[in-house]
Amino acid sequence: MTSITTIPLTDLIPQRAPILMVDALIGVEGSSAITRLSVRTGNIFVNDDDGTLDESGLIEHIAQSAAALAGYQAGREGATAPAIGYLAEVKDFCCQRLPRVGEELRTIIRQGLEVNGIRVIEAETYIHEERVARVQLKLFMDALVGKGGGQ
Amino acid sequence: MMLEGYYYHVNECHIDARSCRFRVELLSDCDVYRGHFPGHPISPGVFNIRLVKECAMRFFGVPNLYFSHIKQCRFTNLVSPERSPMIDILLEVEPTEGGHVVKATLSDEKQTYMKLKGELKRRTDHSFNS
Repeated sequence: MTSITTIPLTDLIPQRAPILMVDALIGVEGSSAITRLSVRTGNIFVNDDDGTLDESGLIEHIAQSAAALAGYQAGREGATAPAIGYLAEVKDFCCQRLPRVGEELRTIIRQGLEVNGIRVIEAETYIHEERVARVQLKLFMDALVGKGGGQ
Repeated sequence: MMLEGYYYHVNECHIDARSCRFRVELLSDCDVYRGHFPGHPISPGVFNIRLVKECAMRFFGVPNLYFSHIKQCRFTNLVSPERSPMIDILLEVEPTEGGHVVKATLSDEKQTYMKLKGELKRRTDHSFNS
């Protein structure tokens, strides 16, 4: 994969603290990408009682991973600011176990077709070799935001 | 993290044997809107999944549930504390082996925002489908 770890995440996606849920886009090849996130104490999605990352945080991490790939592609096409993508659908989310504080997630994004602004994403999240979640997402990409030049 | 008191307050709660209905008020000063998105406050879709779960935890009286499977969750309209400050959550539950299937709808008088079908289990290994 093309290594692109030097691009700041905030150049790729519009989300900011306290809900920034990707540390880095660590590789892109064609319509696939890999991202990573370290689960840390203080993360807004960490459950206080047992230090697990809530499944809603896992889904947000995956959605932002897909948005990072979209932002990378848009940047190569000349966009000057990251587009906003909204979740349109979560389908067949399966969570084998919840990640914990101290663990590092690696998420593989595979992007399908985009029809009428809806982008279909297949994703799997791993901790080392263990797959902890998979899901299909549909993201609605807001074309009016982040396209440099056009109105 | 609990979103109650941070992202929303419960204003009303009606509980029956296999269903319940909540009316919640979204809190416009929740600091998640600093980041989602700067200058453009939109409720994160996943917060509304979590909101459904917190309503279900209150219904079951069990604090540590998680969605092991979400068959489908469709977001049909954007939620924001400015445009849709009061949201109704309707839950229907059916026991399964080791958990419960939950069907949830988020709506107000104007429109439907989200429909979800998924299975909740306990974060520990204990079953809670009694």
